Amino acid sequence: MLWKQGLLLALWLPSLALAGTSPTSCPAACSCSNQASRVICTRRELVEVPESISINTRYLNLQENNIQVIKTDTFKHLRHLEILQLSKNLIRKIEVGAFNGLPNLNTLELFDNRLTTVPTQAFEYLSKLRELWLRNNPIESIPSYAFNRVPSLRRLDLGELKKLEYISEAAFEGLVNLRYLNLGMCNLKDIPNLTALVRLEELELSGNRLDMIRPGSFQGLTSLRKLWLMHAQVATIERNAFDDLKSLEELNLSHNNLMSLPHDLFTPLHRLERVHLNHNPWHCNCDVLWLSWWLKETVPNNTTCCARCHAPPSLKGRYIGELDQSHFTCYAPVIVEPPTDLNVTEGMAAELKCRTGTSMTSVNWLTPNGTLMTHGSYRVRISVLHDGTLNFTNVTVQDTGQYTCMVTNSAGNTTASATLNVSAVDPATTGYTYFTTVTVETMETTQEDTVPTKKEPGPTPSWEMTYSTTSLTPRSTRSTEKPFTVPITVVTENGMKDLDDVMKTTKIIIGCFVAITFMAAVMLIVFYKLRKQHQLHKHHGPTRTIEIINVEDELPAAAGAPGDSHLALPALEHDHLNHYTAFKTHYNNNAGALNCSKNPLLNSIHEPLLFKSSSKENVQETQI
Amino acid sequence: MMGARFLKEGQLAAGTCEIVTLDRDSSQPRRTIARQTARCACKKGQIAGTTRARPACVDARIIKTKQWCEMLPCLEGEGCDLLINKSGWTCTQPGGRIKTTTVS
Repeated sequence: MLWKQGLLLALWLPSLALAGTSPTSCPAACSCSNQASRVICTRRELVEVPESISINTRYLNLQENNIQVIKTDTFKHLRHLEILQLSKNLIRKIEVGAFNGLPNLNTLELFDNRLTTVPTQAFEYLSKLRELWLRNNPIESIPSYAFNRVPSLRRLDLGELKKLEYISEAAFEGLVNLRYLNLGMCNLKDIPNLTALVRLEELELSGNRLDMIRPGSFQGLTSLRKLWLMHAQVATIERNAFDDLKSLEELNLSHNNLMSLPHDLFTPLHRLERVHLNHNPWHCNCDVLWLSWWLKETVPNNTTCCARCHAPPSLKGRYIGELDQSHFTCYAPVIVEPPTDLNVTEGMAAELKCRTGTSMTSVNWLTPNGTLMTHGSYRVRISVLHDGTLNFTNVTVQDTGQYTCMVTNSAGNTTASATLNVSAVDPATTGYTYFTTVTVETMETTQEDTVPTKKEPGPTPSWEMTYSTTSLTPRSTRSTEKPFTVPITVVTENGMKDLDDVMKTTKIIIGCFVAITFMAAVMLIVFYKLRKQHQLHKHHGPTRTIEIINVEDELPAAAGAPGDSHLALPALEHDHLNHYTAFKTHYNNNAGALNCSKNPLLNSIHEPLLFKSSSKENVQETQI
Repeated sequence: MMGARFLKEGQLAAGTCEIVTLDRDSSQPRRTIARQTARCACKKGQIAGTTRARPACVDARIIKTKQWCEMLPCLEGEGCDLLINKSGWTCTQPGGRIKTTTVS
């Protein structure tokens, strides 16, 4: 043993030097035993944790002192510490990292102190912590993930948190190993969310002000064996409130305000064997008869243990377990508001009523697919409300069918059925949506007039005439028809109103036509010369071209005067241009960017002509 | 008018619309102002809107994001442009005539 100690000493020397302690040293205010593995420093009016606590310490008791603050790294060198008792001090603050370096700590007692918050931050690295005692501290709220850092916890004592006002929905998240939870005497009005505590076996909720126990309160607590609800001011326990507690063995409901329990409340609790029902103002009538039967069957040896009747006077003082149907005249339940057939649209909410005279009956709903729904059953969309109503938050077509509500009491049962008919989505009933628009349509004054012009341009026929004098074939005439309709369209698009612009445009147009005419003339001459050359070689040419020769006779006059293009225009053409200008001004239209060369359709006039000059075959083709 | 099938009085079949109010103001020269409210019975995820210049159920997302042109509010051949402040859209006809629609 001595040898071992020497080795330890040698091993821990550096850290000991730092801490200024020897392995067996004992602080002056403390008494140490077992080679300083047990250090007891109680009732020494200590205001802080004494230094030079042996590194060997496994058990440190600092109870009943005046310590107010636990500073960071206070216990850092106590790597063997397993139990730390800091209860009955004046601790109001535990700094972040206060419990650093305690990898073996399994019990941390902080009860009877002045903490106002759960020192969540200080729980880091307490990987072996199994018991945490926070009882009787003025803690006001338990925030989300308050114990998430200590998932190893098995016992958590949060009793007597008399200032507790709020428990977060996620307060107990992460406590997957918790076996015991004390929330007694915390002035709770509601049972907090305990679903995270999947391994919880014992739950203390006594001494609260719960008034009502609803189904779902114990959701997820499938391992719970013991539930204490004494002195909890419980007046009502709703139907199926304990259905989730499949492992429940012991239930203590003593010292409450219960007058009755819903029919068959304990039936789903197959393991329940101890029920404490004493000190409740039980009203003994037909509604407690089921309880009497249950007690006789489950605890035949101890039926008198539990509950005595408070009313009616004739039965006052009688044990419930001694009653039987001879004491009452019982009637089968009455469904006050039976369900009615319902036609609903998919996606809607729906309700099938099944209201009974008393809430002490049990209500079961048989669904079309054969499953039984009770107040405690949880489906995503369907639930049974406390008043027996089958509630659908969102029906689907598959929900269609007959639903039967069965209301049971000790005298029998009554059923009522109704058909739910769900039709496929017809949102007409789910509500309309509205769309309001304001449309402003601005009309240009010329619009109505321009549109028909576009379709049958007035001046075009006269242009055809004009062109027949200059162009080669009717075909090319047709193509020139197009460019003319285009300028008009362009004109309508651009709303210039200056007379100058009109004149400019007119000039451009005239210029274009002169150019076209000139080009045509040149082409004709070229063509004619080519033809003549050709005729020298071959005597027979296509007879159709004769027409062109006739036309060509007139052309030299126009082509032969290249000086002024205006002068070169035949009178007829000029006439028409005037007419067109008049037309344009009349309709107050203008050409903004009228340009012959830019207009692809105008260019197309030249194409056949060019073809003609390049080869004889092409000429014939275009002519046909 | 909108091809709305009427089931019962005042009930619209799924996916159909009807014009509830239409107030056309032609009192101003060269401009017509039409204020129209359409009512639609739309499927889930859809909401009343305008498609091809008619009331129609459109993707609710379009209405939420105010990307009006995505519901194809203009007639075929017309060009749709979103108003700068997303308060509506314009339909431009090939002839240049412009209809400006604001959603209210």
